Amino acid sequence: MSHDWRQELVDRAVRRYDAEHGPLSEGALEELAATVAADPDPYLRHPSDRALALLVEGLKAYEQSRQGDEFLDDEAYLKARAERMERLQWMCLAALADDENCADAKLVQILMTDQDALEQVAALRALDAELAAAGDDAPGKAPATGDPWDDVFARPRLRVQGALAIKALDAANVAMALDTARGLMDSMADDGLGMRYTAALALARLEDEEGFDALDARFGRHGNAWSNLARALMLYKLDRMAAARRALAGFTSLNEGAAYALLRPTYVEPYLPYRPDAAPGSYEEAVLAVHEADPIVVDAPDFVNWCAAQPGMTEQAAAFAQANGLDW
Amino acid sequence: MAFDAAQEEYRRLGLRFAREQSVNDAFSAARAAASFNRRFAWSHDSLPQTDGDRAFHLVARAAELIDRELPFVEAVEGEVLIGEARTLLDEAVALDPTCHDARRMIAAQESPSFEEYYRFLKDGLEAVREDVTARADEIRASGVPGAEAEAALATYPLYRWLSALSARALISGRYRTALAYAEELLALDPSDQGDVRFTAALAYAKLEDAEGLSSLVERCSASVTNRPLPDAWTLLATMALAVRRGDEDGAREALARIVATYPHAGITLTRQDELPDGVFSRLPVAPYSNDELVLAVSEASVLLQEGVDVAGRGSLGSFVARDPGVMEARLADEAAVAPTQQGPEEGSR
Repeated sequence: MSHDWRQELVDRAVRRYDAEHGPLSEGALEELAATVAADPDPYLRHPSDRALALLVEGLKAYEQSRQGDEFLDDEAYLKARAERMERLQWMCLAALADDENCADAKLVQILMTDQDALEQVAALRALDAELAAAGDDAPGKAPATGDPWDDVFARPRLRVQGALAIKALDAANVAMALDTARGLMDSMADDGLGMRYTAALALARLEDEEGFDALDARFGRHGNAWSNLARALMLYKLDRMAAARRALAGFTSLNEGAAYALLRPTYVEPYLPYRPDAAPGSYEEAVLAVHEADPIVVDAPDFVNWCAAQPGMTEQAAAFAQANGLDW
Repeated sequence: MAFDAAQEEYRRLGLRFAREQSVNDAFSAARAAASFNRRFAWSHDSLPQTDGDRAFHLVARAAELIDRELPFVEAVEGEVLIGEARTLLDEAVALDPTCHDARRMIAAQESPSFEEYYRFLKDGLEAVREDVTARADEIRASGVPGAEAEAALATYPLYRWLSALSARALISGRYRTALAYAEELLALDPSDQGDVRFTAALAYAKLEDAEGLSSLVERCSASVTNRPLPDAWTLLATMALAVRRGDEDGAREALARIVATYPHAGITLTRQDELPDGVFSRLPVAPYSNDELVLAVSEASVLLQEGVDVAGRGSLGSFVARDPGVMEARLADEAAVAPTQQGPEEGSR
């Protein structure tokens, strides 16, 4: 999801200021927000805000250093990757030096380590429990919108849970992924963490057609790369081959290059901490969906072969590769 | 116990032979039994038998070649064995076109993918079900001595077909389908001759359906009297479910029970070898033996190998291999077998 880290820092600073010096009037709050937005640094004095600001800087540098990766050969890429991971690790440590409870720094640290997904899941669950136990020391009052995401001080824990849902699916703790995703979907009105994508894949893996349909209906039956691929997988697993074929056609017709993305999966960097942005219907989105679906795809060993054998699939994939200068 | 082709043939022919004997006292019964055993071993063809029996004899020989001998020979020899088995199975189908075991075993060997063998079994099921049921009904209706036993034997090919279908659905990633056929078979045969409940246990674990698994275990511990729990399949499924819900202690406890129940479990749980499935049925091995654990772990590879991990063995596979109890048991196993494996050179270093 697209996330405006800078705005989150501004919101934190404004709420803290209001709690310490306020309550400010609506107009004064707006004015303060504008001042902070123009130059947040002087207002980020609380250790936990400073820690988050450091981490955000680290994440920005990490993103920037990824530009141009595709022009590097393997060796240069691995070197560049190791270097930027190390820099990010330093930023996490710097953030934790300011605020030893900085949840986001801990989250990024967990996600960037080369551990088994199951170990990452255990670490994320421990972090979530730690945050739950720490209680609420947020300044002022959370906005009474009913959506926990509107409370900037609640976001770190929501991010941890969002990452947990995605990691649990990676580790094949499917029901855990589903429950976590559902919990977040139920509380966050606009599903800002994209949990419906994770839920769709989990329901497909559990061959839960009823649950899948309910999810689909809940989001207005707007298909997306994840739900289309998940539906094809689920119907294949339920051995409803004609319907599976139609769902696969849905996946390949909605996303450009989807056939190529499925038949030639590529490496995707760990999400730190969010799933990266991708335009709806784009090849990049299909790549993310295929990446997240990978453990489930591999679990149905003949699924990809079956996909490749469907009329037009390999032709579509080859044509996309040729048009975009990709290997086929 | 699993199905054993040689034993089943013995029972088939024994039943037919007994019918032709006039047994009226203990002495003549003993004499008849001795005569049958001698002829079964030394002049098989002289025993009374139908084309169906002859076809089954060929199936039993093919099962012996593929399931018992093939795993222990080199590739070239293996080709010869597979060719021989194929000839036997072709002959079996020629003798008895409704020899479903032979048809199934041919398809198992010939299908280029999981998917195709699965499809063959699924598409063929209805016809097999009808044929086998009709034949069993016919035998029962005949009222000859031993009709009930013979009808049961006639039903086994359907049991094996359903077992194979359930197992193939499981490894194709079709867990609800695997369960549907396993449950159909358990309804037909609550005593579970072919141990299809083991396949069902793995499928419930794949669907993370803890209630389904405990209901299965409860039903089967009442109806299957010859196999007290815990068995390796149930324990592996229990362990998987514990890991999936984040209950590490529960998982380690299940692993500890496997280590306590099965010999050399440390090595077997670490290696996690995958064996080819038996083509006649699940290979018959001694209950609670190391062989049985090897078989269970191999079948549980659908559980062990799922999910991302650094070593590439699957999230559960890595968890099991790294479990402190398993590691300790493995070291003890290795120490126990080391003297026979180390040559004198090794020892003098």
